[in-house]
Formats: sequence, C-alpha cells, structure tokens
Amino acid sequence: MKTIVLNNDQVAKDTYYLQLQVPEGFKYEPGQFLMLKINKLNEPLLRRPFSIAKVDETIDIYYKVIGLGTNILKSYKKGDLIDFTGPFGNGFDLRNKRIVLCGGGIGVAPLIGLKYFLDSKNITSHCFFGFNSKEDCFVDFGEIATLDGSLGKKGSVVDLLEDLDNSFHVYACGPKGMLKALCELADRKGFSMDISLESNMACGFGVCLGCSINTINGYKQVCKDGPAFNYTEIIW
Amino acid sequence: MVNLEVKLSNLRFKNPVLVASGTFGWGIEYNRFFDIGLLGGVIVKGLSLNPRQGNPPPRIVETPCGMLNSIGLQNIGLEKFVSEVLPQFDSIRTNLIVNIYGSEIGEFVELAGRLNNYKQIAALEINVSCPNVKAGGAAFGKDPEVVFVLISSIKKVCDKTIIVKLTPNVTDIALIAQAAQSAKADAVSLINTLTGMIIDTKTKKPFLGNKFGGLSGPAIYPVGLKMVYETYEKVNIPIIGVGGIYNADVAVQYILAGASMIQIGTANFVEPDISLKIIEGIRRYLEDEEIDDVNKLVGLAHN
Ligand SMILES: Cc1cc2nc3c(=O)[nH]c(=O)nc-3n(C[C@H](O)[C@H](O)[C@H](O)COP(=O)(O)OP(=O)(O)OC[C@H]3O[C@@H](n4cnc5c(N)ncnc54)[C@H](O)[C@@H]3O)c2cc1C
Ligand SMILES: Cc1cc2nc3c(=O)[nH]c(=O)nc-3n(C[C@H](O)[C@H](O)[C@H](O)COP(=O)(O)O)c2cc1C
Ligand code: FES
Repeated sequence: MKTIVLNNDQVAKDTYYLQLQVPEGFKYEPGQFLMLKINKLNEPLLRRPFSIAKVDETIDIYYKVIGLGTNILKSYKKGDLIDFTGPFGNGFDLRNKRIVLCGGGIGVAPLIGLKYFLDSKNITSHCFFGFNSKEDCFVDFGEIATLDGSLGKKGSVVDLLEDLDNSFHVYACGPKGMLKALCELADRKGFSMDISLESNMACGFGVCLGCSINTINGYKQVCKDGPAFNYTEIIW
Repeated sequence: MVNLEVKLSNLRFKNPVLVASGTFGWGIEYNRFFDIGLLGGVIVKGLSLNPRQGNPPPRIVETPCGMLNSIGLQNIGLEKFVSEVLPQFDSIRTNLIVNIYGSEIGEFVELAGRLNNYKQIAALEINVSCPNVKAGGAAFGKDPEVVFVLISSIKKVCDKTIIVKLTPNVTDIALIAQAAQSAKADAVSLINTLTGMIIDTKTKKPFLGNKFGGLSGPAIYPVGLKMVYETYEKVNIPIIGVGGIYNADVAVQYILAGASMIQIGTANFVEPDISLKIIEGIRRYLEDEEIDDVNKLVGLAHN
C-alpha cells in the first residue's frame, strides 16, 4: 500500500522523524511495526522494518541512519509516496502492574507509542531512556541517562532501574547488550518484563521464517510471535 | 482475448504463474493481500513427515539484488499440515502443489503415499535440492541415479502429478532433468537457490547461523534462465522456470527460454501481490505482440 510522506526531518544525530499520512481503515496497536519499501530498483531489495512510534493524525516513525536502506529513506521528501506493508507483529501485552518503560537509543521509538496509549487510558507509567550522548536524544520526556554524562544521569539506563521490585512490569526495547543487562537485573530484582526484539526480516508477516530467534519453546518468529516477548522466554 | 491457460499432465492451470515453495508460507497467509485463487497455482512450504525446527538464527541476510537464507526447512510436519492447512484449501480455487522433502528415500515415499489420499492436492513438487539441510537435501539432486530411483519409487505410490525441483549447484543440470524424465516425472522445476555465504567483517565470522545459505532474488535470474534454456533442449517434459523473477519481462524471458510455467519466489516478500501483476504483465505482452496463446511463446528463443 502507498501513502504520502508528510515530514522527514532530522531530530538528533543520524536520527530522523518520519510522518506518514494515515491511510483509511488503518488500525494499529502499540508495539507493531511497518515494512517500508525504500528502493525503486532492486537494491536494497528487501523491505525494512520500522516500529510505529505513534498513530494519531499521522503515522510517526523514528529511525536511525545506519546502512543502505536508511540512507535512501532520509532522502524522502514531503509529498513523496512511500510503499508500506503492515502493521505487523503483536502489540505489547498490557499488564496490571506498576508500569515502567525502558528504552535505549533508537529502541525508544516503539515505547513512545506505548506511552501515548497508556496516557490515553489514564494509566500511569514511568519512563527511563538511555542514549550514548546528548546529541542522540530525541525525546522530551522521561528520565534520561547518557553514557558520556552530557544529558541526565551519567551511565547506562539500566542503572536507573536499580530500585524496581516485583510490583513493577517493564517494557523494554534497545540494543542487545542493554536488553541482556536488563534481563539479569530483572532476575535479581524480581520485576516482570517484556522486551521488543529485532531480527533481519524478509517478509514481516510470518511466511519466510527468516526472523527466528531461539526461545525456551523452540525457534519463534520475531515478526509474528513478537516483536515483544516475555524476557524469560529468550535464550541469548 | 489471449489464452493464458496451460496444461500439465491432466491438470489445468488458469495461467502459468505459480508461487515458489518457501516464499508463500502455507498459501493462506497471502489472502490478506489478494485472492490467491487468481493464481495458476500455489506451492506451499517444504513439508516433511515430522515437524522440523530448522536452522539456528540468523537465517537471512540481504545481498546485492538478492538474499541468502538458511531456514533449513522449518515446517509443521504432515499431521498438522493435514489437519490445519489442507481444509482451508477446500474453498480456494487454484491448484495446490505440496513441496516435499525427506532425509532418505523411504521418507519421501511414505510422505508422497500419504499425501496421495487428499483431494485438495493437485501435485507434489519433490525437493531434491535444498542446500540448507545436511541429510539428503541437495545431495539427492546431484546424483542422476538417486533421482531416478527416488522418483520411480514415488510414482509407484502416488498418482498425482509429480514435479521434480532441481538444484543449480551441479555441473550439468540437464543430466538430472533427464533422470527425472526417465523416471516418469511429469515436469521439472528449476532452479532452487545457489549456495553462498556472507562473512561479517565485525565479528570476522560467517554471518548466517548455518554458515552457508541459498541465494535467491533478482541477482540469480540469468543463471536460472540459462539452465532452463539448456534443459529445454535435452528433455521433452514441461519445465517450470523459477529463480529471480521479479517482473513480467523476466517471466516472459523464462517462457521464451522454454518454461511452460514460472514460479515467483523472493519477490513475494517484497511485493506480496507481485504475482498478480506478473500475470497481467504477461497478458499485456501477448496482446502487444499479437500472440493469442501463451503456450505459443514457450521455447521461442530456440531456433
Ligand atoms: C520489528 C523491528 C522494528 C524496528 N524499528 C526500528 C525503528 O523504529 N527505528 C529504527 O531506526 N530502526 C528500527 N529497526 C531496525 C531497522 O529495521 C534497521 O536499522 C534497518 O533495517 C537497517 O537498514 P539499512 O538498509 O539502513 O541497513 P543495512 O545494514 O544496509 O541493512 C542490511 C540488512 O540488514 C537488516 N538489518 C540491519 N540492521 C538491522 C536491525 N537492527 N534490525 C533488523 N534488521 C536489520 C536490514 O533490514 C537489511 O536486510 C527495527 C527492526 C525491527 C526488526
Ligand atoms: C526463504 C526461502 C525459503 C525457501 N524454502 C524452500 C523450500 O522449502 N522448498 C523448496 O523447494 N524451495 C525453497 N526455496 C527456494 C525457492 O522456492 C526458489 O526456488 C528460489 O528462491 C529461487 O527463486 P527466487 O529467486 O524467485 O526466490 C526457498 C527460498 C527462500 C528464499
Ligand atoms: S520476517 Fe518473514 S517470517 Fe518473520
């Protein structure tokens, strides 16, 4: 399906904010993602997965420029048509506990949508976000940690969660190292947690079986069984 | 009006466009995008007797104009396929072709024999060419004698149309196609994926969990095309062309090279309804060329 680019601006270091027109009948749950077709020729061939950060008057996506596809994506301009499939994936499973959102880097993106959704239901949530440095930060709410100390607390966002106990439920997304550290913390502190994972994807809707990850229940597909998983399920 | 209908053994296909095994799930998933009944036929994910877990991740990576996969034939196994997938095909008006795999000849034969009981299935595509599994896999498809014995044995227990899917990872693919023909296969499809690998320069290790994978996508179409062309001159049974088809022009090239039908694979991931566009593109090509029947196009590239 095609839709119109309404905005595609840089908002932090190598980070862009893409807004798309909401096509008629478009429905979404926090945690889901779109597959964007960025190429017009055959390279890059495959679509690229991006979390939906928010849907309101527009579909909002935050993305980090890292390779071929995202380098082309940043050249899209207001008024251009872009082809997408989705939304795909299971949304975050909502728990009746004290809610914490914990994001690292561009992994903050899917949590923005969750925060917005919780707010709309008058559910309180506490947000903790971590970045390498001030220039990487693209959110204006939540408690921030930066590795170099240029914004918020110096250190990893994982350090900000030291006070949690088993009355909390955490929704997390970010780089692998951060998620692994969070899993260890969760084991120690006893809080429950869902984590949103990434994997290379070809289709995005469960037919190529390419995006598998290893879980205690065998291989699962990130695109269809996830991207959010209960952390106790994952074998790293 | 041009005729797009083609026949294969006793089967009729409303058009020559099929979708390739492993790129179309169990078929029904694509109904969210379009009516899959409009296709000539649907070839479902490689099925084995027992469920298979597949290979360790990561399983896919993009390559220039293509991708490498090392899925390793992950599938739900015969029992679940029969109880959960097959009934859904009662109401789908296209030919269902089941791609099958066994780790030894006996397993292939048992599977083919058991699938023979189900009326929803039009044909079996025998996968003797998967590069991503250790036991059997492409090793079967590399030896003409093994192919002969395997297909002859399957023909004894299964009276459905039998298509043999060949691997390009051989010196002479036509030789294997001839063995399939001698064993009374109804058709051959070529090609499966080409073996390849990618090394991650950061970790300095092979990228895929299984080290090697199968290369597919637009990058491989000139290879598949040449193999279809070559094989067309050596066998009399129909050839089904597959490998890198991403638009009607490439599909027509395969037909000109000698394919009676074609399969769309990797392109389904990128554009889920690409096969419909390709059916329309073939129709338009025939109209423009003032050819009234797609069957008249087959093999025209040969003199
Ligand atoms: C469910 C999901 C949601 C995502 N949400 C976002 C988001 O909101 N914002 C954002 O910036 N990024 C997100 N990503 C990561 C994003 O998809 C990759 O950064 C992007 O595909 C890289 O493409 P590229 O062509 O620039 O990179 P290249 O390195 O050129 O890509 C090569 C191949 O690797 C794949 N790939 C590379 N890195 C990743 C990765 N981290 N995850 C998945 N595939 C990757 C690409 O899809 C492509 O097939 C998400 C990934 C997943 C799986
Ligand atoms: C992810 C993936 C899974 C595949 N699984 C199977 C399979 O189970 N059985 C089979 O015979 N071929 C399988 N194939 C091969 C395709 O059916 C096809 O032969 C090949 O991809 C070349 O065509 P393409 O370039 O159009 O994709 C698979 C291909 C891909 C990309
Ligand atoms: S991306 Fe194809 S199955 Fe998940």
